[in-house]
Amino acid sequence: MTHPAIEISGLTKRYGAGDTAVEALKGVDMVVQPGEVVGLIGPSGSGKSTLLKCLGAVIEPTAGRMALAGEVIYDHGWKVADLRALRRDRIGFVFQAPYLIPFLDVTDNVAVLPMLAGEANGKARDRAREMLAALDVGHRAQAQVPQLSGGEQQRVAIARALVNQPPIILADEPTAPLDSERALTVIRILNEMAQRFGTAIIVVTHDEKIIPTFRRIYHIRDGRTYEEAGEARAA
Amino acid sequence: MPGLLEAVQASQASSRTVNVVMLRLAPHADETVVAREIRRWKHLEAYTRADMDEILIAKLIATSAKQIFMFLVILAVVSAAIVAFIIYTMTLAKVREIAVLKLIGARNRTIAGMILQQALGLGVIGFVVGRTAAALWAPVFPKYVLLLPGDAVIGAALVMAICALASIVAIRAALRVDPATAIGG
Repeated sequence: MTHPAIEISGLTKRYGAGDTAVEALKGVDMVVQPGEVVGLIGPSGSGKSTLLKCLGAVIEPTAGRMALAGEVIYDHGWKVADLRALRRDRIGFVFQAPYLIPFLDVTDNVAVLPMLAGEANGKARDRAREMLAALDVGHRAQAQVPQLSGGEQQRVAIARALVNQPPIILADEPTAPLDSERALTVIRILNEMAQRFGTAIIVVTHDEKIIPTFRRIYHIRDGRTYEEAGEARAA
Repeated sequence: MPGLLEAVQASQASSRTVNVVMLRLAPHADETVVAREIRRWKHLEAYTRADMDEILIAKLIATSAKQIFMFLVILAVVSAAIVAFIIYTMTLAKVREIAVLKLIGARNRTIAGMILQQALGLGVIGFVVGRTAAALWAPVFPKYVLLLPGDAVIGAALVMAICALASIVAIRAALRVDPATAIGG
């Protein structure tokens, strides 16, 4: 039996205490299957970033339960001792800007993740080159970051997120700075990679042009999520 | 004392006062005995070659060496401040990249190592430029300063140590960066 890649129930996050406390998440439920690309849409201040930070294990929820690929990582407290290793090995991140390391070449920017995981430099670079080739930027493997176009830099960032083959990827407005054509290309790549590696991908976005490409969307408003079913979207 | 009278007379021909007279002694003459004889005269002092060496080395050169050392200390402090400022500014400009590195699992020591490498790289560039400039410009300076290979090695080690110390402020700032800042606006 295959477990959902992401399973969240009753997730709550409260900032502050007493009268000034703000509840950013109010019992969020979410299930994402392996190989699925899901949109997470909501206005500013709705709790998107907080949910992503909880899922990314960089802030601790106040209550609820989170499981990745069947393993409970949070249940009213972290169940994983090394959150840094959890992020490194099991969660990929794609951001609005690529945030590549400017003084490393393209290969090393991708290889840095397996290197951080303790893999030998040569093997890490081989894996980086394979992932760059899969994303059609293999011919830029030796280039320096400033030599790449915006679209190429975003592909390299996706390669970096995928190189350790994490079960989930969290993409925080990955198409925001791109034009329609490049934005749709990025989404197509994410869909292809999700299918190819069985990765579950959550894409946080405001981008109207890519919203129709999602088969399933979670809307978030005032700290609560509402799922828009595939049938409803088709209608 | 052969020649003394002539020397005094010669100097008096152009000047009304005599400050210093240099003596060349006959072969086998004992300079300490000569000096002792001169000192018996009122208002006169005599210095042997050994006394002059002592005055030159212990007073003039030692004083110059202390002055140069003081300049070096001031320059080292100023250099450290400049390197610290540059590295700190460069680090602050990369806060988002540092947050991303932490988010994707980089250890604090990896990030500290990267900043230290940057500071040492700056030190290497500074040392090579400085040493080359010193070698090229030294001949046109009015005062000759002897730079031995050993001094260059010590200088290089000091530059590296100063740069490493100067990077501490930037490393502390980088380690305070919260990985959560990589996500969201």
